[in-house]
Amino acid sequence: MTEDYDPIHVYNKYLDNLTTSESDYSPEFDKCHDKSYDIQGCMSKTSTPSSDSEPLEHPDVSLTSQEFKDDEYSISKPKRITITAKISND
Amino acid sequence: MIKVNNDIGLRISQGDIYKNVEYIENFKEEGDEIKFSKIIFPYVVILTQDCDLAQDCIFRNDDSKSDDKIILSVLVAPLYNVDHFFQGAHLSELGKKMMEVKQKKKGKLTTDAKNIFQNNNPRYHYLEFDETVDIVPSIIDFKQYFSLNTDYLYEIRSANFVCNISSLYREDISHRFASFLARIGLP
Repeated sequence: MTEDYDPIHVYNKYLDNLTTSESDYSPEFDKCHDKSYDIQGCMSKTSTPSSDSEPLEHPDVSLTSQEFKDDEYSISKPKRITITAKISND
Repeated sequence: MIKVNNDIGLRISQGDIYKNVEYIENFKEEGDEIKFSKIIFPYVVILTQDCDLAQDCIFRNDDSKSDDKIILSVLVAPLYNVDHFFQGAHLSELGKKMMEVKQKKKGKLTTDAKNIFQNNNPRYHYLEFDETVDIVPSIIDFKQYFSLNTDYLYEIRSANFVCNISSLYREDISHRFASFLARIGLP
């Protein structure tokens, strides 16, 4: 196995870069490797801090099936959303 | 590092990665209310055999043919942020505490971490993407595969497609997934 294809070598190189070359990585990406940081929202290297820090607005909601619509999700971990919809006889 | 194709292609393919995928977890009818819960997975990879997906696409788009080769659902597995994974926190939003894997000891990778990075642990597949893909190093957990409705995937395909893992690497994933599923549980 050559060094380029050795995952451990590649990963170590990647960790080295994180500490030695700040300009190579976005601050958001670095946050993913800072254990003191709440790592919510770090899945995307280019995600903006504002979208990372804003909680998803998905409380239990009451919608009719017609009103239900998809939102844009920007999350790093799987999340559960519960929806209650009224059945209309109309 | 794996190679990927950023071209969306004409159909769902094995090795496609999709983002923000909804999985219907539970559905209940109570009186005049319907309650359902769904899980939003940040990233999933398609595991269904590519020949099945190709046939499905042909039969789906040709009214003169029967629906014999249509597939109702597509097998996928979730991708988790490798740091969340090592902390055992990748399913924390679902109230699940997963096993923590110690990554380093005295500055060196532990055996468990090495096995995961070298894809020697049958349950997991480590992926590292090039700079064209906005996904941090990730782990596929073969134990947590699930199915998605094929029509739903076609609906979200253009908006949620991220990339397609190129053939050699996707064959590796497919082969390792098949081996994991076919393992024999010994007492």
